[in-house]
Amino acid sequence: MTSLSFGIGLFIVAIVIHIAVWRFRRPKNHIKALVFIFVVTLTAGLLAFKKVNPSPSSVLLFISLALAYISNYPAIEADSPSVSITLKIADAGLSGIKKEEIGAGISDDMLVLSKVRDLVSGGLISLKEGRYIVNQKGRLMARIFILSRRLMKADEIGG
Amino acid sequence: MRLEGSIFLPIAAIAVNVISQILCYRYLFRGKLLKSLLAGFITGGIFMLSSPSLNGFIVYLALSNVYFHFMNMGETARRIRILRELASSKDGLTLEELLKRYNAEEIIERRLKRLMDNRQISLKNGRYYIENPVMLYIAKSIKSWHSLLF
Repeated sequence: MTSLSFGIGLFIVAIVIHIAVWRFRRPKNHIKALVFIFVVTLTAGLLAFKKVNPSPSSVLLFISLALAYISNYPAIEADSPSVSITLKIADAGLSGIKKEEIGAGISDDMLVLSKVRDLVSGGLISLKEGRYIVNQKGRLMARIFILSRRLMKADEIGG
Repeated sequence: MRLEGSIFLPIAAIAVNVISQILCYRYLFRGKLLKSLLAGFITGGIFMLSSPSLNGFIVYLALSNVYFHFMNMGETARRIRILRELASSKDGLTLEELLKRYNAEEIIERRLKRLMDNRQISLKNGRYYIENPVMLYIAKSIKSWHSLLF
């Protein structure tokens, strides 16, 4: 068995399990559940193919594909504004679309408050006496991104 | 091309990718994230050619994708922007204060500008059109995968 078929084959198995789990009963914490599926699939695969002794490069291949999928997942899970805007413009076809029409039906609740709720439930921020405050976990995350942007000498505002 | 190569080569290629991307962003394509990411990706890819293997290229492609998403998060993710806004204010912010700093209008404005800067869309006589279908294909794939899962 080549490292290619082991790594890719196992990745496909994990994706099939992921689709089945999501369709049957969606977990509360999607990322944790995804990591769990990938770890269990890799462990089971290594045990099942113990005799052929999968190479380190096949394991690296699986891990890389799993990391790539996990990093793509937030875009799949949430309604990305860029995706929605692109699809709206495409739907308008040759007649094009005005900015006001693109913005119609898109609210602060959809774009900002939904993310604020995610941050609260993820323990990154908390609401105290009507004010949102960053927790230690959130501060660390913010610092990582601020640092990466400073390294590039990029402006610190994104979004 | 061999099927299997060293496990260290794609990791070293990612390091080359990251360093070149940062240098390109700082000195060559000031403020153009997408161009700098592409330049970094190509430089790392050339490094991979020193001992090409199919396995190594797939690993390099996947890890480059992870790096792309990390950089993209810093640039576009709403969660990160909210975290930064809150982290920059000593006593935190009320919802009203947060929405004054960051709201749906600004998000749409920024996304339209970014899509225009990357020539994915164009603006003619006050109306937006698809300029390059790449982002559209990506958007459609994301929507299809979303429908499969949810």
